[in-house]
Amino acid sequence: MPDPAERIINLAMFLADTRTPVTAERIRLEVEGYGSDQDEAAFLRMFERDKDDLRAAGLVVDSTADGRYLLDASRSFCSEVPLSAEDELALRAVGAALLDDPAFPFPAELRRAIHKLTGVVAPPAPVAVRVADEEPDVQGATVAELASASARRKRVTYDYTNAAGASRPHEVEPLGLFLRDGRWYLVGRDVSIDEVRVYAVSRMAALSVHAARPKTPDFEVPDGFDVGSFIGLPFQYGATPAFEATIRFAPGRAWSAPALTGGRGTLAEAPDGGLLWRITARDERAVLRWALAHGPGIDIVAPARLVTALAGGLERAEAAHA
Amino acid sequence: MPRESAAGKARRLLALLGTLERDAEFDLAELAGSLGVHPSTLADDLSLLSMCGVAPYAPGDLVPVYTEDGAVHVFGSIPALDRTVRLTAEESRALATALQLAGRTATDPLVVRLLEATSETDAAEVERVIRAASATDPGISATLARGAASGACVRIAYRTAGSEEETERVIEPYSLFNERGAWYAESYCRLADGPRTFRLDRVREAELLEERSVGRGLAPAGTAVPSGALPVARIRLAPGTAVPERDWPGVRVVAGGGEGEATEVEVAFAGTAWLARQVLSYLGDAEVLAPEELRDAVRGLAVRERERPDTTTT
Repeated sequence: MPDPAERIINLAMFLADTRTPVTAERIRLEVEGYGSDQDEAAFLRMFERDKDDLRAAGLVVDSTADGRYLLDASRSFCSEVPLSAEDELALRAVGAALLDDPAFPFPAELRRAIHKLTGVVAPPAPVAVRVADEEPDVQGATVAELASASARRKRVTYDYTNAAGASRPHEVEPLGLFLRDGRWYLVGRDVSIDEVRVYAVSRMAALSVHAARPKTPDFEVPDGFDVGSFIGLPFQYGATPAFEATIRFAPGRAWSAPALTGGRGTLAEAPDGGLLWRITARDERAVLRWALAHGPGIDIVAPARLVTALAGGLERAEAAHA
Repeated sequence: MPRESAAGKARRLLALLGTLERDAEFDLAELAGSLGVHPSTLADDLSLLSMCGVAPYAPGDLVPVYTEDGAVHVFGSIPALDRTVRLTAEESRALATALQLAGRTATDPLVVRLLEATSETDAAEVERVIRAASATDPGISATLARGAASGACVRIAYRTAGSEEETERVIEPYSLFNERGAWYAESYCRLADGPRTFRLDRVREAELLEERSVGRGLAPAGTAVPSGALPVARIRLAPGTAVPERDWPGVRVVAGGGEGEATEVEVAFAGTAWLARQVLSYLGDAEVLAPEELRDAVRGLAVRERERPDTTTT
């Protein structure tokens, strides 16, 4: 019996070679791999599966109103991508390194993508990537499963251990994923409390994806959902009321502001060439810690109570080290 | 090992077909490595492809490929499907996520060009559901990667953590690595006259020089966690203060830490300025027990910070 992959490639080549829409019957007759002794229903089932496989591989097979089939070449093939030597180097370097990182959730897909774009995945220079440091292989595999569930909009269940060490099962609609400081996080609506929450992937266990009606989504993604809006700075978490802080980047540190602020809050030029950053915060102590840890040249300007608290804290630190 | 699905195999074969150029020759092992399969698997794939084609499946209608002595030979033109198939949604997502990790977000010109030409996926859509962005300027990391790949020296403007001043250095980068989202370049630093690891988000400028690096045979360590003969600080954290495991790489608890108790930790450090600033940021809830120079550094830094004109209320 021929390899089914051979039949699928033959079908792809037939459709790529045929400029006009063709009937399923002609496909059955001309594409090697479809048995002439096969009954009609079995052939149609096989043909439907093969079309799905071609679509999953990137080939767009359209059907006409009269039930014929045509490969949409404009949507099936890459346009020419002029890659500079630097672009190709960047792609190959990060790509090759990520393929060796167990915490990267999509290695097979990335490998095929880079292969299609550059024809080669060999690393051009020693580059290593370890985006997660806690059980990277577990995090990578879990994120791959969560990303698939999120794309198909299928609910997931898992046991989750919170920061206090308590564990309980959760049923969640997975909306998005983000990576920060070596940890992957899931943003999802917890069905039992009807709230969107952030969960550390490394605290999950016994993950399962709802298997019922696999091709039917379980939920809708809220309009305007953006996983980025859930990635906060360390001082933006907590149950205390939000307040606005103003932080000044001295002229010599202004260049580092985009990276440190991560695009959050608003940055405005100060008369001296520095920058004033207005940012919503919740944890006063964490704001002070953040500004000091990233200094020098990063100073709290407002609110006044933070400036006062900073002065008091500096006095305490000085006294502790006298 | 689970049996490979026909769809999965077909996806690989289609990616492979896009590589095969008319009358070209490839190294079997290299091509197999690029596709992530064993050379014997690739040889089987190519054997299968050589039987694929279009009706009437005469020799000229089949994929003209064979393998011999570790080489892949294409002896004609591919009868159909001789163009690269677009990226699938999953491949686009993988590519966009990987580029995010390289500091290239949805508005980066390379990302826009790549995804527009190769897929129906919008990078901004990917970013709305997956975010793995690195804070590193992609131009800086690209320059360092070119230096490491080509053996060229790079001039950088660098600010050491916790330091007031920026230094200009000529470095010989030999390895790049990403740890917990931050990129680093392992290099020989001519200013320090020794190997140094530079965190790329502290590099303000990087310029590739024509000057070649000297072959020094340095082996990449691939980690930012200090180890070896570095000094170790002993620090007491006030009761209720969490051990900063994420901010102080390699920190370990050596005493206390129970309910209502202070915690004593040890942490290796390469730069006094960095650790002094970290301790100071705890505003009295962290106290250096040893070494004495670090205690002095924290005290001196506290005084300087208190005297800064910018800390006055506005």
